[in-house]
Amino acid sequence: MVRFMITLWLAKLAMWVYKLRGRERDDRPGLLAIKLCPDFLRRIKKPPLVIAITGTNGKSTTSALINNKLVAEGLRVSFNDWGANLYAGFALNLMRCVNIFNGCRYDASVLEADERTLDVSMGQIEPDYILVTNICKDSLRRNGHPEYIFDIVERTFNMLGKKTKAVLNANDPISSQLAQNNERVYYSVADFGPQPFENIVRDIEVCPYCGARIEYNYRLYRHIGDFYCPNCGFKTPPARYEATEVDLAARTMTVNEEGAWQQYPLISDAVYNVYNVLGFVALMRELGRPAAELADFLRTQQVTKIRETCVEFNGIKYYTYGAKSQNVSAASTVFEYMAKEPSTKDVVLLMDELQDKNHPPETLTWLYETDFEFLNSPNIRKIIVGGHMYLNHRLRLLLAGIPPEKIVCVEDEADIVEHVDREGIEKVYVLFEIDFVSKARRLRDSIVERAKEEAAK
Amino acid sequence: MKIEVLFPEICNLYGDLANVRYLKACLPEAEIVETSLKDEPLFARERPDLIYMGTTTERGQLLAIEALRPYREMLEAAIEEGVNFLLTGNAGEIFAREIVEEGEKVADGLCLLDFSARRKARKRYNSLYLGEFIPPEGASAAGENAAGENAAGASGSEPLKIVGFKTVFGFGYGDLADQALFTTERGYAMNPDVKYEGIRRGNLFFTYIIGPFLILNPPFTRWFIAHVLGKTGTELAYEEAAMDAYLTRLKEYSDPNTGFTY
Repeated sequence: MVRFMITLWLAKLAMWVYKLRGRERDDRPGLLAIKLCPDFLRRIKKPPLVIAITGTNGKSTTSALINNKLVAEGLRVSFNDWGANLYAGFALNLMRCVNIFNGCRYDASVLEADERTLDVSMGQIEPDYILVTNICKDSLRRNGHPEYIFDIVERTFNMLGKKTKAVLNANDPISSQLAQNNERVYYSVADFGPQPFENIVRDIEVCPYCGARIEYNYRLYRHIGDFYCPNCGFKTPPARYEATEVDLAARTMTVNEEGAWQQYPLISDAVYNVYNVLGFVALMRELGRPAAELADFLRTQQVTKIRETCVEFNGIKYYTYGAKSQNVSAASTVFEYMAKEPSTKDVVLLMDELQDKNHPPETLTWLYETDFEFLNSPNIRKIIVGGHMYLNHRLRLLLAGIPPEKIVCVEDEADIVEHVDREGIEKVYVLFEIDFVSKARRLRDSIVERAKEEAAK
Repeated sequence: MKIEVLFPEICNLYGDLANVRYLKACLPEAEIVETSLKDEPLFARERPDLIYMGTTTERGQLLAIEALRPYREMLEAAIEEGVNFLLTGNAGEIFAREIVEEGEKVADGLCLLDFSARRKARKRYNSLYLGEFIPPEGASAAGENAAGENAAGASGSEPLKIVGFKTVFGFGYGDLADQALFTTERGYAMNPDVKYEGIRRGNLFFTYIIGPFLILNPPFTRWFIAHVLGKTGTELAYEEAAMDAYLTRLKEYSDPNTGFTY
């Protein structure tokens, strides 16, 4: 206990110093706390409500909605919205909730949690709820394969037992099998006809219990849908919250909650965001928030600016759009969206992981699990790739069947600007690795500036 | 030409199946036959020109072993007869003597390759790979392209540089030096005590290198198509683009300042 208290004081002092320097989101004080006291996360007092959101994709959007709702209610909420979803980030987050005597002064903590380290972190934090958005193919280097991640998350639920309630995506054949010994509740989406593309590789193809091929009554994207095994009882579990009517154009969904119906606004027209909003609804309903109140709240929400921004000039909309390089499922899903979003567009790929540029280089395997084939779409006029991996992108795009005349690959990202069309298109999407939001915006702004210069001539 | 892909529904991690797609792009006449876990393999009825298997999960390995065990003797005969195999990533462990985790046997392998796969519980080793493949005597000419150059762009029978990635939970142990496929220059070898990587038994090629190995290594692929598959003079799909990327990668991997492990 003495060790913990001294650690808390030192880490809080460091936190104060960083705050004075305008770096209150720097998680090094949290790192210090973990180093000095390895069970810091277990010992620190937690707010009365702790919610963890994990999964391969969608956790940032979902956790932001949860945080925003609790804050809108007037609760004092600590939220690691700066992407620090590992031990140090959790320590910093929870330190904000306590005074120097380890007395908790916050009402809630919302923790976006990295799934690969979930067992160690949440084993200590013991959250009241863990919402698992999905488990999909992700970065090889960070996450190995979905089965590896499933085992880690399952181990977490086994450790937590009855302390933690699981909120799960019933339409995911992988993550829906979690928390078999915990209290758990499901959400699902009925078929609304999005006609998903076929991925070159699915995240799961065989029944985890008998090895037979998984079949679908319908699929909404990737491996997400109403699944069953023709050989055993493995199938989509019944959901307490089912989105029965989804209208992407109108951005609404109607949720059937055990016979009670409520329409909710959606925050975007992307299929995966239906699940993000539905996961939010399911969790907040489990917390007892009235459905109509949640619907009113969602009318005030939009996709976080970390993921998507837009400016318009001369009738062309210029977007930055988070796509997650190395994350096979996220990148493929965004590529599918690019093909289905009907506007005529140029797509800029800014997806190199910069930390890989120097030491060591980026792995290339993700290029060949990701569906670049989806970009071979008539509404995509040009694909422009920049960065040190440009030759590999060029080869991948060619092998995806994309006509060479549609492909522009340049080593220097600054040269991208010169190749973006300024007429004959409706939109430009800069798809970027999400760690580099500012860089993407700078490039997008340079493209717009160049368009303005041309227009002024 | 028939290429049998074993269990693509589970042996599909890390882009390994792109190897088959690339072979199809290079050899449009090739027929790709996908064999599922519950199917009778093509090799049980006839001799494919190539049998390919890619990386799978640890549970996937067990499923694959059980699916192939009834055909173990047929596989042994096929290898002895010189049928071509290409196994990438951990697919080779399915053909090993055994798979051992933390000192405890997880499964008996098919005992077609004489090594033991030993892994740590959830300890992953990730690295880039740089190595060398020495074409057997008299084989190099088959790897020449129409211009009479070998895969590296020079004439003659020089060793071929191999680049790639490895992600493993453990290593392969056995007295396999005389069956070595590649000689390792940088990155993880077959195990930390040796310099060789992969196994060649007759026309069975196994490498722990994962992902689109054939796309990453156009010189080796040209040699493989010509010498192993017997399609001399075949131009690789997007060969120029593939070589541009390969030569840049080779230069980067050969730079001593480039880090190799994650």
